[in-house]
Amino acid sequence: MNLVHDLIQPLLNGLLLGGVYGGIAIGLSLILGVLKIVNLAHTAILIFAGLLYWQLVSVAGLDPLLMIIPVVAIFFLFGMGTHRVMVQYLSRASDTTMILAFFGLMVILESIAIMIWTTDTRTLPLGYLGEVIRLGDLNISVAKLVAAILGVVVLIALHLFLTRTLTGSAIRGMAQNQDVATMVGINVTRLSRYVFAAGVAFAAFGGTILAMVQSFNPQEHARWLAWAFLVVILGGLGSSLRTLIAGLVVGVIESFAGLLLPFAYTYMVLYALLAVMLLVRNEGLGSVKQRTI
Amino acid sequence: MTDKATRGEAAAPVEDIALGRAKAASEGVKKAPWWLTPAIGTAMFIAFAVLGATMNLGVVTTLTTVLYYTIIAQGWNLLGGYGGYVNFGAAVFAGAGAYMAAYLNHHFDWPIFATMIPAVAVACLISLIVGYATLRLRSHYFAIFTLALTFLAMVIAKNWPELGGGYGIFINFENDMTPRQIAQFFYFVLFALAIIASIVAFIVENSNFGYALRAISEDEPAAQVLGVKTTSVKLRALIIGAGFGGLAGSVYAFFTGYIEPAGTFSLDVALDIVLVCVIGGMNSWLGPIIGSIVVVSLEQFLRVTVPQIEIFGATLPAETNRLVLGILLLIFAMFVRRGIVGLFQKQRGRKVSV
Repeated sequence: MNLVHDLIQPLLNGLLLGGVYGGIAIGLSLILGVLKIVNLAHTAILIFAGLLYWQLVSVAGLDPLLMIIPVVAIFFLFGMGTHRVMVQYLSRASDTTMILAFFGLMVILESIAIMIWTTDTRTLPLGYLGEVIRLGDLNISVAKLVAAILGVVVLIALHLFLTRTLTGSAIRGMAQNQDVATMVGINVTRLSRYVFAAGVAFAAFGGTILAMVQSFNPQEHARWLAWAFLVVILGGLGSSLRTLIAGLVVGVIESFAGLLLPFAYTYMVLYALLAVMLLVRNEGLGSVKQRTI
Repeated sequence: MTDKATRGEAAAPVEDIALGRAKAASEGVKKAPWWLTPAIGTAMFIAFAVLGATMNLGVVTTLTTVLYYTIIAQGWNLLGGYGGYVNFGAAVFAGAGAYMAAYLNHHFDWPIFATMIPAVAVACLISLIVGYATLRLRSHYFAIFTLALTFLAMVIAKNWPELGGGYGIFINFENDMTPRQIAQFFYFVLFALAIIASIVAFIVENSNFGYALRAISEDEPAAQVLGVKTTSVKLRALIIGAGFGGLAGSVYAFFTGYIEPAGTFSLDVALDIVLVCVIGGMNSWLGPIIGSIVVVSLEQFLRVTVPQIEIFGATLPAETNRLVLGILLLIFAMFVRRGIVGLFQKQRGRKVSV
């Protein structure tokens, strides 16, 4: 048995994948944790952003790292608009109505994505990110490394923002109790809009880093929603650091499951993990409600 | 004593105001006679029977789809409509039933009616597992889990060699009937099942079980405090609903004669079922029937007209249909929350709060 080949390489792949998974899940976690809204369109946005990113990098031939910024900015504005038109209007409606509206949004985004980009599977041309670093027997793809580092950096930055700044405290306060937050002078409507837009922008960011490491097509968003959901459940809604750790755990599990089992069983392992987590963390999730973010 | 009297006096005006408002509101509402909805439902089913017996093959096939959707939507509506727990796994339950029927028919030559029971059983079993894992949590988790489940079901079916893998599985329906007779046979089987599903929905709507579900939808913690066993009620509603899904799926597998994973476990099915209930109205057993008629006719209309529309010389892709359906769902969810049935019902008990 070759230690490096059988153990360290998959572990490293898993960790790199996990950094990306953390980046994929954080938008869902933020919106669910702070606004108590389940953004079913999360991964439809993610795939849409990924395709837009692919268009800019592959067809227009622009720089892959710089192009993350305009994609994220566009979706931040999209998030602001969606909040103004849809979420704010439904803010006093029941959870059921909100879920149905987001399902509608998901279908709309998926349909538009297919109308523009068809159902073909896309792979991002990596350009200068396509190199592979060799450390002894270890192979590290630069694109995966960059994507994972971006994911980790953004999650840690968000954690610091939420815990160390005044706005971050206001957001945490809003997550605990919106009415009291209003009483102490937080403009809840405006802050909600920024949080929602940030959540959508994080989804777009997740799409760009996912595009770096995986090929994807517009119909696959349900799969990624399951992944993001798994990471959110595993980490709880507590903090972005725990989301990061959960992402790394899922990445490593997927990496080893892929090594030991046939491809299709990887899904089953992760879904079984999801079901078990839902059962076990029953109270965990309930108690998390009190100390959200 | 005096203390009580003064408190009573102080409370009286407030109570009067509230009562007065409640009376004024209820006087404005003309209560529909109790027999109106059953009468409308019966009339619709009589119309279905007449149309099925007299119309040509094309119309009967379309109406078969309407009835298929009606059965699944009635089942979905128990938990999704009355209980407020939306699930996007309608395709999983119907698909499980369809695959069970196809498997038994393909490998053991079971006839159509014999496959119904295992089909229902497998759908109920899946819903039991899913419900047990998710229904103790808030509706968010249930919705997102069922959405993800559709994808898992597709992956499993695709990789299970006995179920035909990615190629799908053929169903052999032995008979010596003409095409029109076959169409009518399936039509009336689904017709009978749709009647049963509607009667079950009607009974649930007017039973304590139905009131418990509606209480959960209004305010779950309050319902729990008042003694509703919320998890058990939700689980039962899900299982009954899934059973109808499996039942419809098994008949539909024989009707189409061939099933494959991507089409069976598609989110499009979930979209259609959700749309049927949202457009029809989620608070009444008439909703799914009306909704199925509207949605199936709309889809037929779009399928015919969309390819003919040209914009800048290019025809619209088929995905435009789904775009229209998605926009429709968003509009109904935002502005017409009570659906078509709700437009004819007066708002009950929401206007006054004490």
